[in-house]
Formats: sequence, C-alpha cells, structure tokens
Amino acid sequence: MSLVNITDIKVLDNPSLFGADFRFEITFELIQPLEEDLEWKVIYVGSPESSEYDQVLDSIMVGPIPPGTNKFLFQVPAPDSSKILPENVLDVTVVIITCSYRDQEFVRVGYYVNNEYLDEELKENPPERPIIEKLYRNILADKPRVTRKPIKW
Amino acid sequence: MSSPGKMQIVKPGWAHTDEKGSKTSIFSIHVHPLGKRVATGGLDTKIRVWDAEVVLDETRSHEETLLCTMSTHNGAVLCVRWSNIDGRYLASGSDDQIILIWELDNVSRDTTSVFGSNEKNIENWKVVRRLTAHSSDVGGLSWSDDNRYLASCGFDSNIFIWDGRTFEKLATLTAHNGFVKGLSWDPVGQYLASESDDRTVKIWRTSDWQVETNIKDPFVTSPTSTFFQRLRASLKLIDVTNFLTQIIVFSWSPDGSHIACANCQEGPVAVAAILRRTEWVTVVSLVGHQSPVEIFTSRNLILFKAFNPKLFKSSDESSTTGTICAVGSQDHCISIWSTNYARPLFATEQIFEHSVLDLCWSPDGHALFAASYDGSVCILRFFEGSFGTPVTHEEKERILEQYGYKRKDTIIIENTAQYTLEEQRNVEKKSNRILEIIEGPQTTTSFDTSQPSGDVAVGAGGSVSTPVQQTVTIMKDGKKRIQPQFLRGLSPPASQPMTTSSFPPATAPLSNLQASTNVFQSSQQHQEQPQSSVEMSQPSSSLPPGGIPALFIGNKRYVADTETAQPSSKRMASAKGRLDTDSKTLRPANELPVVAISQVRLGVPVVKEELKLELVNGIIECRNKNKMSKITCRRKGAVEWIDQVNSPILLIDHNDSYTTSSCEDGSVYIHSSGGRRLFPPIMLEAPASFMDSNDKYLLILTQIGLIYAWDIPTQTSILSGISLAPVLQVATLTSNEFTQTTIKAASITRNGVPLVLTSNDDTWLYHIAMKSWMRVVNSSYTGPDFPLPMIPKWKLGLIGRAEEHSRANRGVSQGQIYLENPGVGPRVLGHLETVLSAAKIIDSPSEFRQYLFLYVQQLTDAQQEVKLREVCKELLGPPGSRSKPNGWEPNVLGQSKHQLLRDVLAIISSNRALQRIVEEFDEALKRFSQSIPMEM
Repeated sequence: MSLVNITDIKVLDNPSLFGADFRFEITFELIQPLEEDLEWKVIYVGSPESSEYDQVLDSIMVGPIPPGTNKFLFQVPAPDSSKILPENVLDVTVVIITCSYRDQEFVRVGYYVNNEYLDEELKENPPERPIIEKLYRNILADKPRVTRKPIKW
Repeated sequence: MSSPGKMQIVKPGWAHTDEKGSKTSIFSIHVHPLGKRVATGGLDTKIRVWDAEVVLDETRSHEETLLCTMSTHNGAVLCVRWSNIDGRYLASGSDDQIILIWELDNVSRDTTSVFGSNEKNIENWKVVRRLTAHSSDVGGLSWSDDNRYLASCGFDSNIFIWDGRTFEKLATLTAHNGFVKGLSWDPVGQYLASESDDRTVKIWRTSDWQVETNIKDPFVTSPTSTFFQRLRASLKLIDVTNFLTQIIVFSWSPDGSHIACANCQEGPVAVAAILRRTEWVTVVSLVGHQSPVEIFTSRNLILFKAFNPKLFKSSDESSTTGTICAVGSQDHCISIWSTNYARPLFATEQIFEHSVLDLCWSPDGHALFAASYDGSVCILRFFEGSFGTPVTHEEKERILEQYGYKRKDTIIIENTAQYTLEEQRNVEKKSNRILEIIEGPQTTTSFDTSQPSGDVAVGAGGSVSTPVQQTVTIMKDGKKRIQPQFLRGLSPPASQPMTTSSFPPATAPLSNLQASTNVFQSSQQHQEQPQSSVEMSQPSSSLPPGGIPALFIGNKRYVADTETAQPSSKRMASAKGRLDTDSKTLRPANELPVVAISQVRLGVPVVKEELKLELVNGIIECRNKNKMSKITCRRKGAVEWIDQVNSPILLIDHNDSYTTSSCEDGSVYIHSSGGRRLFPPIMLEAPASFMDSNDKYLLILTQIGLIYAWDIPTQTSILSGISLAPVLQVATLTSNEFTQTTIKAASITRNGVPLVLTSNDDTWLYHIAMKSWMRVVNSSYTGPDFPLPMIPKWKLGLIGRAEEHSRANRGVSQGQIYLENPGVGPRVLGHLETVLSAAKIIDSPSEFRQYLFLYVQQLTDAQQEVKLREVCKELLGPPGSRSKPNGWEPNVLGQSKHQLLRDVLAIISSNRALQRIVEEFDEALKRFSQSIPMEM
C-alpha cells in the first residue's frame, strides 16, 4: 500500500480561459516519514491517438513532509497550443496529475478536460485554426479517475 | 432439552461491489466489541465499516449503513479485526503483505467524500500504523483479549507478535512448515494457538513464545492445499477461493477449556475438532455437514468455527454451562452447536450462493454475522433464551480462574489496607493531574487547542479555497521544490502520546560538537536552580568550558610534544568562571618535575597578573608579581585584610568561614574570614588544578591527578592523595587529544563525599569508608534509548542533575523520556538501585525518597515480589524490635524508615496482584506503632 494517500484535490479557477494557469490544491496524507521528496507532475494529453503530443506542464519536488495531512498548491502553465494538432485543441481531452517517489510513479489522477468556445457563433462554426484567446477550458473536477500502483517505498 | 428458540436471518444488503456494480467476495467480517460497527474486507481491496445497530433495529431504515470505505490496501483484504474491549483500533491484513492499523479520526468529523470515487464517508478511519514484516499475504490477525498483543500470520508460514500499544514487533514464531491459516489467543492469556497447512496446530506459550505442544492427530488425513499452491501463480482468482479454504478461523471457547479447529477429517467425513485444554486431545467432533460422498471432498471443508463470546447455561440444567459454537462450511451452510448437545441447535439451509468465509458473533452473543465468497453478508439473529441463560461476567471469570486466569484489574481486594491505600492514591492522582495542568504546558492537549485555524476551514471546505502557506524554493537543477503546508499529524489528537512517540523529532541526535558546547551552559543552568541548593551543594562552575584537560602517559600511545606537555595553556586561556579573567596572562604555569613523571596530568590554570573573586559584599584580589603575590580582601570598599605569599596564586576560593588560595608551587593557604592564616600552608606535591569547598570541607585536585579533601575546622584529612586514574579510566581508554576523558566538574558534598563528572558524562563518587571510586551515573544508561522515569526538573537533586546533564549531552531532555513501558527490565532497575544507594552515600534525603519511590513503582509494575519484599523488610527493620535491636537505625538520612515504608506500600498498592505484601507489611507496621508507645 501507499505511504502517501491523496485525500483531496481542489481544481481552482475552473472553468477558465484556455491560456490560464492550471491551479490544483492537493491535500494528501503521509503515514511514515520519507527519506526523499515526492515528485509531482502535471501532464496534458494533447492527442487521443498518440502520447507523442503529451506535454509535461511542470514537475516539482515536494518536501520535506512531516507525517500527517499536508497540502500544497500546484500551479502550472497552460499547454503550448502550438504543439497540439489543431484538430485536437477542441473537445475532450485529459489532464493528469502524477506523483512519484524515487522515480516510481505510485498514483495517477486523471481529469477530463473540455475545451470549447462560449461564443455561439464560434461554437457553430469553429475556425480551422483555433482562436486560443476565445477558447475556454472546463475541467470535470468532480470526476477524478485515480489509479494507484504499488511501488517499493 | 430446552426448546430451541427462534432464529431470524437478516440479509442487510451490505456488499463490496466493483465498478460495474456486481458483488465481489467478502473475505472477512468482524463485529466491533461495542457492537455498533461491523467491518468487512474483500477482494476489491477495500475495507468497509457498517452501522450494525441500524440493521438490527427494524424500526429504522437501512439507508446510510455504510459508515466508511477505506481503500488504502493494494491487495485483497483477507482479514479485518477490531481490537478488544474498546475497539479503538481496526487491524487489517491484505495480500499486499501489509498490516494496517486504523483509528477513528475525530478531527474531521464531517462527511468526507473518498477522493476519486463517489463514496461518502460518515466516519473517518485513518491509518495510524503500517506494519511490514510478512513476505507474503497476511491471512490472519488476532488481538489478545487484553489488547496487549496483536498476532499476525500468513503465507510465509511465520507468525509475528506485535505490541498492541506501540505496534513494535515483539516476536517472530517460525516453527510452522506450511502457511499459517489461523490464530487464536487463549482467553486465559497463557497460550496462542495457530493452525497451519503443515497439518498441525501449535500451541505457543505467551511467556517465552515457545511451542507448548504440537497437535497432529485430527489433521493427519485432512486435505492440504497443495492443489491451491500449485495453482496460485497462474490462476489468481480461482486461487482466492481455494486459498480461503485454508484461512481457517478457529477459536478458543470463551471458558478457555476447549479449542475448536476446522478442516479435520475423521474417516471420510469432514469434521470440526474440539480439543481439550492441557491434554490437547480431540474430545468432540462436530459432524453434520454433508458427507464427501455427495460433494467433492475439497469442497466440503469446514471452514470456520467461531465460539459464541457468551457462555450459556441451559435453562433446565442450570448446573452445566455450555459453549455455543458456530460452524461455517464450504457447503454454503452454517450450523450452530452447543457443547451440551450432540446435534446442532440450528442448521441453515443454503443461505449463500457460495462458501462461508468468515463468521463473527456479536458481543451480546445473540447475532452471528457471516460473510460469503458470493459477496453478501448474512446476519443470524437469535432471540433471548435460544441458547439458555447467558452466564454473567463474574461466573465466567470464575471458570477461567480454574486455568490460572489472572487479570490485574479484576483482582479482588482482599484486605482493607489495600483498599484505603488505593483510595489515597486516587486522591493523589487527581491532585497530580491538577499540577500537571497548571505546570506542564507541553502536553498533547495543548497541541489540541493550538490547532492552526486553517485546519477548520479545510475541514469545512466547499469549493472555496483557503490560501495555502507553502515555501517554494528553487533547487540547483532549476526545479521548484515546495514544502507543503502541514495541516495536522497522523493520529487524532485525542489519542495517547504513544502514537506520536514512534516519530521522534528529527533533531534528537545532536552532534558531538554541539553537545560539547552545551556542557558548560547546562551546568550553569543548574547553578541557577534555586531549590535544591538548600540541601545540596552545586557542582562548581569554576571549571573552564571543556573541563580540565587530562593527559595520561606511560601506558598510552601518546605523542607528547611540547604543547601537549602543558595541555592546559591554550584551553585555559578562555576560561570563564567566577574568576575574573580579563587580566593579562603573565605566563603559563611552571611545570614541576613531579608532573613530568606522572602518568596522569591535569591542566593547571595559567599565571595571571590579577585574580578577582567577587564576594557578597566585597572582593578578594590577588596580584601576582614575579615571586610575590599579594592577597587583598575588601569589604564594603574598605580593605579588611592583606597577606603576602611567595608564589604566584593560581586559584582562590572562598566560603563563609575561610578563603583558600592555591599557589603555583603547590602550597595552599587557608585564611579565616578575618584574614588569619588558620594553619601553616599545606604543601602539595603539585599545584592544584581545581578547588571546591562546601561548608567545612575543602576539595583539591592536583595537577598529577591526586585528590585531597580536608575537614578544615577540625583540621582532619578525609582523603589524602587518592588517584583520579580510575575515574579517567586510564587503564581502558586509549588516549588521544580528542577522545581523552577530562574532568568536567568536581565537587564535594556537604557530608564530605567527592563527586566528579567526566567528559564522557559519567558521574563518580568516592566512597570514603570503602576507599574506592564508584560510578553513580553511567552515561550508557542515559542515552535516548534508555527510558527513565521523568522527574520534574525543579525536583532534581545532585544525582538528578548529573543524570540530566548526561542526557542533555545526548540530545535527550527529560521531557522526551517518559515511562513508556513499565517493565523496562533489569537495566532500569539496576540504574535505579545504583542511584538510590548513591543518594544514601552523599546524604541526599530528598533524592533518596524520590528514587526509592521510582524504584518501588518500577518493581510494582514488573511485579518483582522478591525485591519488593527485601526493600520493605529493610525499611521495617528486624522483627520483635521492642527492645531496640543493635545495628538497626530507625531512620535513614533523617527520615523515618517506617514513614517511608508507608509511602512505599501506597505505591505497591497500585498493583492489586501484590496486595499480600501490602497487607503483610501494613500489619507489621501497625504492630510496631502499637509496641513503641508501650515501651515508652
């Protein structure tokens, strides 16, 4: 079982503009003291077909952590839209938060993300090149998918 | 035969379900000892806590019976067990090889949702401990009746015994050759029984964790699980079915007389064997489940036996008590047996679609909870009188007493002395607590109230975020590092300190460097403690930081270069004590030839131009000039007396009755307060390294490591030229400048006993009558791993301070040490015995009392009757002391031994098992007090 247990993730500023930072307030529990820091990452899935378009938005180290309940704010920049195929910018994709200890990923939280125009006209006839400034991002914050993996602690 | 009562089957609809909503197997079920909650663990890796009261109360709806879902395990949860009595903990074992200990979190009482799922938790059970030791699936857990131990067993064929409070691993039992299927504690507390796949049941003694007996007979032909083991690697799911046929809950009858084992074969029939205590032979075989002719043998195993926690008297034959036993089987049935009848009282038709995997009786004995592989739970309710009349608690204990059952809190008070003493103690306890509340702010309760306010907001948190206070740093590689905001510790604040104790503050081990700089400071702090100075002299602070450097030659490999030949000069230059050191250093002290040939050399103060010693209302000054030195004593501004000596003065010391000046040539001048030389100068073979005086006694350590002590007013010698070599452990320590033992402090007590504190934090005293050095505080006893009882700081006497000092240098403060485990064993007792006798030698009544009581408390907790008796006898004195016996003093250090004995008895009375001693000596004391007035 995991020594680290995520008890809550709050998705702040949601929905927001596509270009705004992601802000996650992560609360987790630590059962035993750890020798090393935890590495947290946010990955934006750019394409449903290939992991080639995945973007690691940021990765940070968290520590030292006293045993007990802890929380921190994880703020990461928006994905680089130029690295996403135009046809994949709109619609549903996934943003993933992962946590690793000693380079072993032990938990992965996935959120569905829906990118759309609020402007009715743009909604009806989306331009071929997406207009990032008018694109809104909505994270399905109440439906996180949590995958845990046993690792060597 | 009484008419069998009615039975009702309730299917509460409790289930473990997967994401698609279909049921998954429930491997374990257990009822909370208070009967309100039921825990289940299953294949879905989850543990669920259910509200049992709601289900059993027909008037309430069955909604919201799920109190909590815990999904921390990575593997199927094979066993869940509540701790006994109050059910504070829930232990769970899983095939992820880990045991988790859960405790209810009272901090966040609100309903919280489980992150990443739709489930809501009404109660919040949190992991407080994670026990790793098993190298394979953990299949069985069992708490001893008094929660002292938790035993775990599993596929690795080991059994581990854990401390039920600290959860430290106490023992590993490895005698089984096959995986261990089940564990059960003897209600009497003598044995642990384990059943293994090696076709044996082993009975272990709890006293030494050795095998008491090995039972093979009923199992010789029982099916083994080779089948399962072979399949295990490839077929995980099927695995689990077969595997669970092997995890057999077997149990002791509540009266401790029998043990029930499942999975036996008698001829071709599957039976459950009941074994009798001490003979360990099968006395009853419960036959009745379908014969193997009709069903596959391997499918017909009797899986579970669970004794009803209550004993029942059958209504018509009130003389016999019977135990009720439930048997679950792979034939999907449950049968209920009474040891009074040859046939089952109840037998259910197939209430499950699959095997019964776990059974548990409710605490009142009227409901049986069963969990099945089919993923459902079934409750069998029996109405009052179904099994006869329950036997009362007292009757049960009487039955257990036959087998030596003994429990501290149930020992009946036999005499009035015990009773009155206990009453007194209760009163004292209360007043102690008040003291604690007022004086001791460092308790966990204060932590409680100082909860960061942010915590509350988090608990109440809706979508609104609270600002997170985190520290962000950028690491070398440019990566951000965030130190998270700490919200709260692991355990609920309501819990005992034991849960926090396993995480010692990271700062505990101090480096040697820090420690050595603390030495002097801490001894200065001691100086400032006012209370004990009434009785005890303070250890002198006139020693330099780092103590007096010492050097041994001759038997040591030591390179004696010119600088180290005078080891004092450099370090002493920074000396700061009561001596004013602002004045110019004239030169290092001359080295006398006698020092050059001495094996032990101590540092000597350098020769200063001027020495000043502040008095209460004046000052003593020494002016050193070439060959002459002038001592001037001024009081209230006027010169009171002047004397001249013809060697530079190195040290001066003063007390109310005399002033001592020690010179470079080894002479010591003693002046009365009026300035008269009391006697001709004492001539020592080497200059003094250190001086201390206490009342009439004067102590001098010379440069060559000899110690002198005199009684000045009577002009008698106490010690003359006693070598310090034993204290410095010349014989055993290898010497180099860094590991050299040095003298940190030396003093003489008011009864003339020299005390020496060395740099390795040992404290020594010189027993004058026995003419030898004795080590009072051994630094190895004061390390962080050595739990000593806590004494409030202001109560510390001389020995106490030495002890505290020694500990402080090891990074342990008194506050961190508390009496965690009463039976710490011989080391603590040995230490307490040492300091107790030392307190007697140095004539420190308050410390003697303190340590005596601590010692007795330890002995009482450890039930060391022989030692206690000896202590009491010593205090009581020889019998028939009507006429004053020779050689027995009624007082020790000015305190009445009998009064001490009264206090000691009050302490002993805290353990009722020792009440015989209390009574015996209380009686004796009474006889004494009656006889004394008669004498007068």
